[in-house]
Amino acid sequence: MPRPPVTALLAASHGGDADAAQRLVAAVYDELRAIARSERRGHTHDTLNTTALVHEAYAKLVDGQALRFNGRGHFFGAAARAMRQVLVDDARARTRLKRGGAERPIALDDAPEVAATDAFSDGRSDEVLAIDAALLRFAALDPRAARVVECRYFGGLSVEETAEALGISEATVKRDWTAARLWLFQALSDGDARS
Amino acid sequence: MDPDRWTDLKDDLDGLLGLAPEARQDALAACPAERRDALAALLVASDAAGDFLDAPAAVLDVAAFAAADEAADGPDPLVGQEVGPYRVVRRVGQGGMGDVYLAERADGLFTQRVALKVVRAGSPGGPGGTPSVLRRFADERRILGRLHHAGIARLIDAGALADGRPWIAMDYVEGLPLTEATAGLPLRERVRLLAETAATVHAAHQALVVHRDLKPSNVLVAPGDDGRLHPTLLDFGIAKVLDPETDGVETETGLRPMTRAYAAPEQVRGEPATTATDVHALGVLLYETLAGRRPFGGPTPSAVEAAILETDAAPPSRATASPTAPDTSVPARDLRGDLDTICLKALAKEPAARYASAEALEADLRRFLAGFPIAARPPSAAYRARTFARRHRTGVAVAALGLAALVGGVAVDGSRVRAERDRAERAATRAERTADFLAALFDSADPGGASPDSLTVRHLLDAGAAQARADLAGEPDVLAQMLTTMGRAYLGLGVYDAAETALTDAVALLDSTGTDPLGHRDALLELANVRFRTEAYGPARRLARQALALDSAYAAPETSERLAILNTVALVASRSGDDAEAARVLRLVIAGRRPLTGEDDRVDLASNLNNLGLILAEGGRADEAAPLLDESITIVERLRGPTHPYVAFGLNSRVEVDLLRGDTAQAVADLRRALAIGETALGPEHPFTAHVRESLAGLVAAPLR
Repeated sequence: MPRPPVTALLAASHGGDADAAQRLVAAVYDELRAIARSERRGHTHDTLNTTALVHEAYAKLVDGQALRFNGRGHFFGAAARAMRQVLVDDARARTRLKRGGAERPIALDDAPEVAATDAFSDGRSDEVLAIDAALLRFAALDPRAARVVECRYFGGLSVEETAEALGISEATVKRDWTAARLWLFQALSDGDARS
Repeated sequence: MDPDRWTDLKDDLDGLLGLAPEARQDALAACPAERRDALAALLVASDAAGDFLDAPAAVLDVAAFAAADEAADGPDPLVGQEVGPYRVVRRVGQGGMGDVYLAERADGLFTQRVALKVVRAGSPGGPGGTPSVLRRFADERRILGRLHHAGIARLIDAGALADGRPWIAMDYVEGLPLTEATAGLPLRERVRLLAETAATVHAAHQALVVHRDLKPSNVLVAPGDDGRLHPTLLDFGIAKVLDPETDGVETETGLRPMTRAYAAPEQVRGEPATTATDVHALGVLLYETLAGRRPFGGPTPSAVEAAILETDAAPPSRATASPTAPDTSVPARDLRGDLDTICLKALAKEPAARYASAEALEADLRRFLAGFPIAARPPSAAYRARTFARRHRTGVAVAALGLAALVGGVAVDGSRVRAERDRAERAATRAERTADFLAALFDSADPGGASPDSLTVRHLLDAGAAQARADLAGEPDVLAQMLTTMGRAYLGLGVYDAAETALTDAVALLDSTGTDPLGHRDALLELANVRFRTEAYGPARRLARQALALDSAYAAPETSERLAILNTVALVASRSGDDAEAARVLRLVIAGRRPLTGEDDRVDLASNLNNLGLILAEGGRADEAAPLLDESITIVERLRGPTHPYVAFGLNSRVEVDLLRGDTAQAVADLRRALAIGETALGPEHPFTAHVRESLAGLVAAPLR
């Protein structure tokens, strides 16, 4: 598969091209998964360092060409979204293993390694899945605040970095974060009864 | 909860959380009653949430990436150094002339970020040339000081490094080079950015400054406060400051500070640059932005120069039609015609044959965007017809709904639907919003987990309208366009109350901004059509007149929109009892439409014929009405198929003629066919379908009575 023109995708997605944004996320995601797989083949027991993982993806994607200005901030927005996918896939795979399901895990090539590795968020699979599901519902109400949660929770970005990634002010990030956090808390409290 | 209500809640919540905990209950009591419970629950959540979500699931280390970028760049001896009053922070770019650094004012007086351009040793302005660079800078500074434009980075300062290399400080601008920023953008957005760039260049020309070195890296694109992309032009006047030839000194090297691929023939020949030179460069930028490649190329610099001097550029549509065209280029079919013409006029070899000014180029780009005939070619009849066809080309679902808005024999002009959809969609589904937007639509319409197939158009529209209102609150013109499109779609579905709500809001928004008179016109016309349909003829007449006034003031004469407005005016006149006036206006509309050959124009003509035929038939003039109605039905059958709603409208009108002629059997047959079409194409609940059913019942019952 040809390497996706990431700088062009970044520019386009920054300019509002939805398709480019999705392709960007897909490119980052594919790269993250590919690296995760090769990491696991090499070191069965190694803990995956997420920073190193994304870092490597970043380096591969931009092909040594440093992204500056808005490009890097935007990349982190995409990386946070891709990270969400990776974490959710990983959590789903774990949950299935726990339940003894026969289904093949989505995120990983071979199941035993999943159990062996302490990759991202062992013990937090349920939390990751619950928040991902609630966030899907919340996005219908407030897509921007949902993106803020994605950056902060799934990407660990600071308020300042989130503001840069999403192209909004820090004050907006803080307001969105506060409101979204309470909405999600409430939804998850209620959701225990509902689901 | 709907997004509007959530936005209000967020505002209230923000205020409440800003208060001391003991003051919150009182403040809560002062909040609107309908939100009080939800707010109280959120406040409880705030107390209970503890460290919820405080620990991220993963951490991306941004600082590590910044360090990696530094490492990739390698150490730069200037980084950390002081240059004049500035401290160099990092290198941000490399160009043919030298390196560009981000620098900050180092004297601690105030924080100012500048882009520091350091001319590379060996460049024409380099060591040895420094005194003349500084002298030219001093000369130019007065002139450049006049350049106050939001789209132009200012020249701030200049000096020399210890090694003699000259440097220039400019406003620091963030953004991506034009061609990178536009790759993947929709065609219209690319054209809009070029139009803005041309407008900025023209402003500089007005201040008597020629750029002389326009190229993608000198046009940086970044989102502005309004959330849209805007270009900022760098290096205005720099080329002249750095160009030894402006001293009257000939250089042996022939290295002029211009970028060959973007140079005009007169520059290649070494003649002075003029405003026409910048127009040529804008033509190259437009070409590259659209086609993904430059108009003149070659394996060596001299081959490029020869191409610039001697080769006529291929139309960009032909360049993108080639199998080797980059995937960021625009499809050839979208370039053929106007954009080809505009590019080639800007790229004319003779300066006098180009656009007379950057402003004239901008104007043609704007005309293209508005769907009007461009100036670059005399508008022959055939050409105007093509313009119409493009303006009226309709797209996917929403546009189809726009066409379905042809109800009760009234033509709602289907034009501009596609353009509006593009514009509104671009804003509404900006980048990461799309997935969320669609999720929102499905979520809100699908609470019980039913299959997406059960979604109705109506549900999607309702959800989409709510979403648009929430997402586009800060962009009133875009929101108004979205609401107009949705109002038109509701009208097509026969949901008049929802149509009226959307269109009333659109009109109010456009009235308050005053920045989109043609959009305002469209909203007024659609609202007039809704009022006509709900038999409020007084308001309908007033709205149509307002639309007509705006159209006369802002649009070219004889547009399809004008004809659509007049059609509504005629229908209102007819229903107000003035059939003679209605017929007179409709004959004018029909005469205006007949020469137009676009498919949508033909369908609109069919609608106009139907309306006139119906009015004549109602006035008892069966023989005049019959051929008009037959022609109307035939046109639609041929262009849109025998089950298009228009066919049903025509049949319904012909019933009047049948009855005048005493042919009840034919009338029943026409009504039955109209009913069958209405049931399938419009739905059994649609007002038109209901009307036909009633007529049929009356007619079938009558002979028994």
